[in-house]
Amino acid sequence: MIRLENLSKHYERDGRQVAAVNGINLEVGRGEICVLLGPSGCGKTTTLKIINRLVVPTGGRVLVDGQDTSEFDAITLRRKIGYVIQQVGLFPHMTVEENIGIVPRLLGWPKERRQKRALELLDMIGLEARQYVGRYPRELSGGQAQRIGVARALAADPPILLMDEPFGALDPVSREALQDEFLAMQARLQKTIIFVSHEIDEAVKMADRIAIFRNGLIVRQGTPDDVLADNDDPFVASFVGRDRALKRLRRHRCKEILEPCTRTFAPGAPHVVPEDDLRTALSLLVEADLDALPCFQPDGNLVGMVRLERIRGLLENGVAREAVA
Amino acid sequence: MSSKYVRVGAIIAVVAALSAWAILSGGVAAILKYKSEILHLTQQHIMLVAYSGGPAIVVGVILGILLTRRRARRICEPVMQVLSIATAIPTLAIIALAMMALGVGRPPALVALFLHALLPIVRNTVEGLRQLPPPELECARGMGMTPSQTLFLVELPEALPIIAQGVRVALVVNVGVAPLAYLVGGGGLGDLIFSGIDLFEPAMMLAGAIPTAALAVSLDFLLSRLTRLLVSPGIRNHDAIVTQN
Repeated sequence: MIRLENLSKHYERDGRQVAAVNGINLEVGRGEICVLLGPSGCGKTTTLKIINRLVVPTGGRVLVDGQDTSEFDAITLRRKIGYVIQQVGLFPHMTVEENIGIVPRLLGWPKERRQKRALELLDMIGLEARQYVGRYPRELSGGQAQRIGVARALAADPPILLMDEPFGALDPVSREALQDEFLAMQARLQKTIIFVSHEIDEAVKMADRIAIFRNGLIVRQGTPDDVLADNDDPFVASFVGRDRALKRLRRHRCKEILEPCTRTFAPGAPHVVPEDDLRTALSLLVEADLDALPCFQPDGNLVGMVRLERIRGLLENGVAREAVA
Repeated sequence: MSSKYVRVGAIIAVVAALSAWAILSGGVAAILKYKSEILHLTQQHIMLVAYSGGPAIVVGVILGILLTRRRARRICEPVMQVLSIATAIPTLAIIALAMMALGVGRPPALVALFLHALLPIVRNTVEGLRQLPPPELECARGMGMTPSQTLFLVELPEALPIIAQGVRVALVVNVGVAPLAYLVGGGGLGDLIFSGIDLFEPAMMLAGAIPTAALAVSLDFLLSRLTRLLVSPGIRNHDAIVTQN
C-alpha cells in the first residue's frame, strides 16, 4: 500500500551536501505497522515527513496504492493521512472536542457530525466522553493528551497513520498502557501505520515489520523475529542488544507452543496461562529449576504444558510458525 | 498581573488626590464652569485616540504577521530595530516634523499618535507569534491546514493575549500623550491643560487633566475586560509579555 522507492533527501549545509535520507526502499502492506527504528539523526523522522510532504524529497518517490504522491495536492494528501507527534501538538485554545474535530472541520463536515465523531472516538480510546469533551489540553495528563492526539489523527478515518515517537514522552507505565490499547485498537481498525521509534523494545512490541536506519540508510528490514535473529550485522546486533533472545520470547505466547500434558505436576507448582508470554514462562522455569510448566486457563482448566525444550527449539529455528495454534 | 493593578492603582490614587484637593479648595464649582468644554474636548480626545489607534492596530498586527512569516525571518530583527529607534524619537519632535509636512490641525497629531502606538503593537504581535512551539505549528501543517488556516485557526487565537496586551498598552499610553495635540492645534483635552498652565488657572488645567486620567483608567479597564472575553479559557492564564515604553 505504501512504497518508498529510492527515496532521498539532501540538504546543503555550509556549502556541502548532507544526506538525511540516502536512497531507501521500503514497502508497507495494508493494515501493517512498520516501525522505523534507529538512533537520533538517522533519517527516520525525515522519511516520515517525506510521506506527508512536510519535507520535499530530492530524489525518489512515494507511492500510495500505486499512485505517486507528488501528483496529489499536498494539503489534500495530508488530510487523508493521520499524524501523531511526540509533543502531542494539541491546540491549547481548543477544547478536546474541537481538537479532535479539526481535520473533519477542514474537510467541511457539519458541526453535529463532528461532535458525534468526537464522542465516538473518546469512547474508543477509553476516556469518559461526557467528562472530557469540554476540557482544554492543559487540564489533561500526558497520557490522556496523547490518547486524544491519537483520536485526533483518526478523526476523519484516514487509511494511513504516521506516528513520530508518539509514546516517547510518557512514563514507562502509561507508555505500556497506551501501546497495549493502541494495539487492541489497531486489531479492529487495520490502519496502515508507519511508526518512528528509537527503542527496540517498543519496535518489537508494536511492529509487523521493522526497518533499522543508520545514517540515512535502511541497514536491515524484516519481521521483528527476523531482525532479532540476525547476528551477522554488528550494528543491528548492538542495537538489538545481547538479550535479544528474551526480546524474541516476549513476542510469543505460551499458547503457541502448548503440548498435551503428559505428566503430573505437583499442586501449587508454578504455572502459566495461555496468554502469558514465553519470557515469563522461561523466567518461571529457570527460577524453579524445572523443564516444564503446566498451563491452566484462567478458570482453572488444565490445557497443556510448556516445555523448556520447545522454547529453545523456537529460538533455534526462528519463527515457530508450525506451532501457532 | 500584579504590575497592572499597581499601575491602575497609581492612576486612581493620583485622580483621587487631585479630586480631593479640588473639592477641599472649593474648586469643584470652578472646574464645572468648563462643563461644556470638557464634554466637547473629551469627545475630540477620544477621536484622536480612536483615529490614530484603530489604524495602528490594523497596520501593527498585519506588520507583525508579515514579519513572522518564514520568508521574512531574516528582515524581522532589523525592522524591529528601526521601529524601536523611531519610537525613541520624542513624540513632541514627531508632532513638529509632521506639522512641517501636514500643516497644523488634527492630521499631524494623528500621525504622531499613530507612530507612537505602532511599536508596542508590532512588538507584541511578533513576540506572541514567535513564542508558539514549532512542533505544534508543524502538526497543524501535517494535518492539512493551509498557511492561512494555520494563521487564523491556530497562530492568532493563541497569540491573542499577548497581542491584546500590546494594544492595551499602546492605546492607554496614547490617551496620556494625546494632550500634546494642543501644540499643533489638534484639539482634545490638551487645550484645557495647556491653557490652564499658560493662564496659571489650576481649575482649567484640572478640567483637562482629571478627564484625561479618567479616560485612561476606563479604557484600560474596558480593554482588559474585552481581552478576557475574546481569549480562550484554555490559555487564559498564560502570562502575557508586558511591553512598556
